Amino acid sequence: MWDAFVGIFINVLLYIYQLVGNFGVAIILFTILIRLLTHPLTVSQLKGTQKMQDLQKDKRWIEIQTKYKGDKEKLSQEQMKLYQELGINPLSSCLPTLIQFPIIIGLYQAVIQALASTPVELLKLTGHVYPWLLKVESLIPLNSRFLWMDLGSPERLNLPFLSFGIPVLAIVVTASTYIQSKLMTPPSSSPGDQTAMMSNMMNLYMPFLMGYLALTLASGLSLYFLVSNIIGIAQYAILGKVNWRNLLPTRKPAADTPAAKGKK
Amino acid sequence: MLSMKSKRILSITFVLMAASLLLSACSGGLAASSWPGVTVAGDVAYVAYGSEIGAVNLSTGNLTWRYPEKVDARTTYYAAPQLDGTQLLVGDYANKLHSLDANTGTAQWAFEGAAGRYIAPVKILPDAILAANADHHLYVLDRQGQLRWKFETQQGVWAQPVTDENFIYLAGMDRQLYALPMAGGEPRWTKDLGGSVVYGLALDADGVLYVSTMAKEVIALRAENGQELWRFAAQGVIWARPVVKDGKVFVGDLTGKFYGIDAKNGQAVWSVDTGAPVIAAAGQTPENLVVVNEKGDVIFLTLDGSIVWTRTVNGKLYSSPAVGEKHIVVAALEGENLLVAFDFQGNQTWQFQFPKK
Repeated sequence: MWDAFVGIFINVLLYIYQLVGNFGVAIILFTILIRLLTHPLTVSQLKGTQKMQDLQKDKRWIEIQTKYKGDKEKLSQEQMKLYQELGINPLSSCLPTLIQFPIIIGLYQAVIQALASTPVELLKLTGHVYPWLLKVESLIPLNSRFLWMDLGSPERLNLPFLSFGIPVLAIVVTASTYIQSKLMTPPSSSPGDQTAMMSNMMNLYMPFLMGYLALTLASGLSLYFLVSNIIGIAQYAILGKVNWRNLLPTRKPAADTPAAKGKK
Repeated sequence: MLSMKSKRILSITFVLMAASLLLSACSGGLAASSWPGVTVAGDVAYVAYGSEIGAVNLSTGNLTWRYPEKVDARTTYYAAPQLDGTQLLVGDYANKLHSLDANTGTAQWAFEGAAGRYIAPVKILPDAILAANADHHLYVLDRQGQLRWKFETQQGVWAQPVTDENFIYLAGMDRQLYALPMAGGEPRWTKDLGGSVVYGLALDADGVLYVSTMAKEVIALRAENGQELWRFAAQGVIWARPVVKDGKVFVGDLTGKFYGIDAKNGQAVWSVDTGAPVIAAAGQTPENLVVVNEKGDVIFLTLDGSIVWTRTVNGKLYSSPAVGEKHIVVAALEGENLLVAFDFQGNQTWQFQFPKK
């Protein structure tokens, strides 16, 4: 089942590759295509998040938090009542993310399997390719060169005056992940709350994790990370959900973002 | 209410869980893997698989030695080990070519000049070692592992090179066949084969090269000048190395067909449907062929395509069977046993798995 799912991704990726003849360009176009297809999920997730944020500022919500502070069961019942009354599904912000997760994993695996750098991977790839759509014998070997990179290997930029290679892609992936997470973090009404704290921790650790992956894994995957980050920022910007001021450390978290403004 | 410390621990745990989920999502496709490589020399079967290399007594199936003493999961071996007198040569997936004492399994020297995986077994010549690597290079070493020269191709080379007195013939994933002077330098000739070569390169005693490609073809060429003699169109993609014996070329494809082809004109004399993809070259006994396929069948064939016996082992058979004086050894991927040995009558004589340390 999962193999068949990844197989669809692999065939689409290779079909794009067949059209453009460069695996780097194919990864970029494939990532854009997937992000476009999952755009409605992103929008739905944003709406859900917005509703939850609005709810936390609602008088009735604040009241019941104070009133039933010591009675968790009653608090929960009252919260549910309020959800129903306002027509809010508490899962509406995380469900689209959960649906997107297998898509993201499938995308990772499609990129890696299409690069097929070992006999097992190549055999697997041969089994995945739809013979009515693609001919594996004409696709292999994939042109895995993109700019200065071999997409099947970790990337390093070698300069004549340096004795070591610079991991440009790893640096850019780390930076773009950091920027993306900062820009997408919504303003928190109470910065000390658990959710805000978790977001801050994620913002701190995820860029390093992604940077480490980009440093050690095939650069084809790093290219996907980078393109995905850029598209993610663009999507949020188009939807007016980017907190540009979050990038400036001296300012307070954006209180005048389009999202926040509407709530004043 | 949770304390600040608890919140911090909770947050870190969440991040770590997300990280591990992400890593596990990637790892499914990232693990560098292949199937066992096995060679028989004298009374010993040498097997390379995963993180270990082992020497197994061919008569008893008992382990004589294993290498390394302490397993390092970062180093994996899949290319079939090759015996050079008393040294055993095997390349790993990290980029190292190891020389071991064939009697004891102790390390002698290592060549670390490559940058990629060793998928092809090395080719040993009287005064040189040819080590093709997935880093798009053929490395030519002396018998002590010192680099003499190297040749760059456009893609990785997974097929073991073949040689005659003066030339090295090299074919790889770049669809090219190169005739390289033994002393190095520019190729004498290069031929575009129209399809990638996975394992499929053979040379017969009459100076004819046989190359099987992913473009579903076997091509015969004159080694002297690269002149094409014939092309045989198979039903499926071919990975296996062709085997030349008694004026015929034998090869299997991924549809499961195994062909006997006339070496003179490239016409199929017979074909057998084995029922599952054939990845590996056939093993040769003095009078017969041993064909293995993906569903674990070991098929003992006459040279005219008649099946003498078939046995099935648990696991996938992607590696070429190694044939000794009295034994056929097959190496299984994802099976109960790593090695299974048969005599020429099809009786199973022993099975082997690395004992747990």
